[in-house]
Amino acid sequence: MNTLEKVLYVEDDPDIREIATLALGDIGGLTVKVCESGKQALKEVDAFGPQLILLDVMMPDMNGPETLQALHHQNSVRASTVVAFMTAKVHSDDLIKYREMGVNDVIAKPFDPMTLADELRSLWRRFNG
Amino acid sequence: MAKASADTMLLARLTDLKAAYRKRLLFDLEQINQLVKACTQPPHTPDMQALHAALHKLAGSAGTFGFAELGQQARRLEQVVSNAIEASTPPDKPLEVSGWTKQLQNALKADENRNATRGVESSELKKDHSKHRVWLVERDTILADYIRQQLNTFGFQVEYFIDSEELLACAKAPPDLLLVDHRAGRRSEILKDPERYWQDRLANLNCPIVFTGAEEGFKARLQAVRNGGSGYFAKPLDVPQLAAYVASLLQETRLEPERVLIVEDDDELAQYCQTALVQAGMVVKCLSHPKDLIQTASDFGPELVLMDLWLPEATGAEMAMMLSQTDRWAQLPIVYLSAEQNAELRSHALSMGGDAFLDKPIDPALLVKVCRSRVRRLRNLQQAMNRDGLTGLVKHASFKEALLKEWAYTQRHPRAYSVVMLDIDHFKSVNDTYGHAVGDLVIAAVGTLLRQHFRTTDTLARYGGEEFALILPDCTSSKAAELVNGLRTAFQAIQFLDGDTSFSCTLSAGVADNLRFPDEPAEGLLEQADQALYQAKNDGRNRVCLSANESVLK
Repeated sequence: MNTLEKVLYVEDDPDIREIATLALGDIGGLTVKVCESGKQALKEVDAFGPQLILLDVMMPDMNGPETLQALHHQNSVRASTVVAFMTAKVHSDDLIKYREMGVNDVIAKPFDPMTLADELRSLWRRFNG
Repeated sequence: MAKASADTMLLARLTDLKAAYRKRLLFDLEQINQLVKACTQPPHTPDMQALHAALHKLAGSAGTFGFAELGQQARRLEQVVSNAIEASTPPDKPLEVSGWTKQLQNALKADENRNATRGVESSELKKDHSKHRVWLVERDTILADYIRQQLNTFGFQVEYFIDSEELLACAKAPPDLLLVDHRAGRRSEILKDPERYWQDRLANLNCPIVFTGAEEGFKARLQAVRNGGSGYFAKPLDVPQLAAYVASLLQETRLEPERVLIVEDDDELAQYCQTALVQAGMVVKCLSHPKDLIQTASDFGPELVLMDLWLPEATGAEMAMMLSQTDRWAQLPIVYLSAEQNAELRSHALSMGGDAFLDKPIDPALLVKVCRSRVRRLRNLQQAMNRDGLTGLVKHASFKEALLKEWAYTQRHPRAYSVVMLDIDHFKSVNDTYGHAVGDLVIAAVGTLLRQHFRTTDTLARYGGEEFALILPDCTSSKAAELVNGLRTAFQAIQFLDGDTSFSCTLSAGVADNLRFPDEPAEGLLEQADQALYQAKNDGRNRVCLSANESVLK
């Protein structure tokens, strides 16, 4: 399977979840599952089987890095799975830290709803082209 | 068709989401306001983490929903909080937060001013204002009927009075413009003192007045001036010409907000000026460091720069010089903000390219006036350079520029826009039959009609000869076709005069939008519209065609 179809997106802000659903699904033509917390993502991830996992960094209870660790822990991240964080702010030392966790890239917030899907597709091609 | 309506629905949902987010912003901003207050009011127990989280959230989301300025401002403040948290584990020094709430509100206001002009928030397709109201005072009822019908076709709403007495008896709110026959009153009194007569009766009407009359010549015109008239038209009235004049008188009140860039390293003063200008309805951006000036200017597109004379690394005068040496900004008005009293330094700064000084402390009312008048002058200058003298519409080159801009904008921001090509039918035979002077009147009439029928945010151009081109943002092709069809029917109702004979003309148009052709480059849409126009001509003229021959309005 060479094209990106299934994206799992974990985000605590309901308004962002809604516009991301629109951006990735209706505008971008991807199949998207949005989860409101890391906990929910852990439950849903295996049944959905995403090719790309997009995690908001700053979330209450379980933040992005913690969620990723837990996903790894329950073996839900396959070798081909692309993982990206989404954040409004990124320092270069954070980036190194994220890479060590197995994050492929960081998507900047605020995102543009018209181009978010394209951004994810090109990210996908970089690692699975 | 299915694809287009699905896209329209998507756009509608995006607009809804934006509106919902705008509501939520009120709560988010209030929460930040409370957290900021906690930093300044006793007991000093600021919740720095909560403030950081709230600003971070705002920084990450606002831009997605079209509030870019607010998001950037939140990010700047977030950085300050984050530095403070890292610097001192127990916050020993209170955070300098005065003005933060105001800064965020100003940013929001700036976003909204811009969204309003870009028409992102509202997909309202009606013209910005309801129709202009014109009152007509005319004793000849047949002529009055004709004038009323003709002005209606130009998009004016006309109310009729037979003479000054009937006019005075009217208790309604005054119109946007009064058109009055200078003999339409009590004959004996007018003959005795025509100036006093109208001055007394029209003194309370706070609107432009245009006089009409049977007399041609100096005396009648002078009398109109003395009576406070904005113009005088001799009969027989050339209504298209009159309509163009009336439209130009009313045009001025519909202006886009002025765009001002403030270059000032004193944040408080910058804030102060920004607040004054934003409250006056302008769009303002602040810049504290001169090194980003050219980049910021090309991103923001200011119409005036307020420049501090003393800046870090460079003086305001040097910055003014730099701008004046850049082609694109050579005309840009620059006003210095300064406490400098040294006459020599001031004169040096003016010789480097600035236009005027505003002395600190800055008087907000004067600031607004100075900015407004200079921007207006710049616009007049640009209008003279970029607009077609006959129609007042933009010229070919400016249209191409606007087309590229709109295309680039919609690559980043979701919205529909339409491009229209429009052409007067059999124009050559009008010129051949009635002469070029009359032909010019026909072209000018299309210009007036376009300005009356479309919004100020639309780009209306005389593309060449008898050809016109439009860009209509936030407008699908079906809606655009409907609007253009309204224009078409109005145009064919206009009576042009040539001596004793009158005639009418028709026009054809082609329409295309970006929803149907999402992959076309900027020029591609124009080509599609042109093909649709070709189709309309082929199908028999006097009609509006959609691209790909989807439907026809006639």
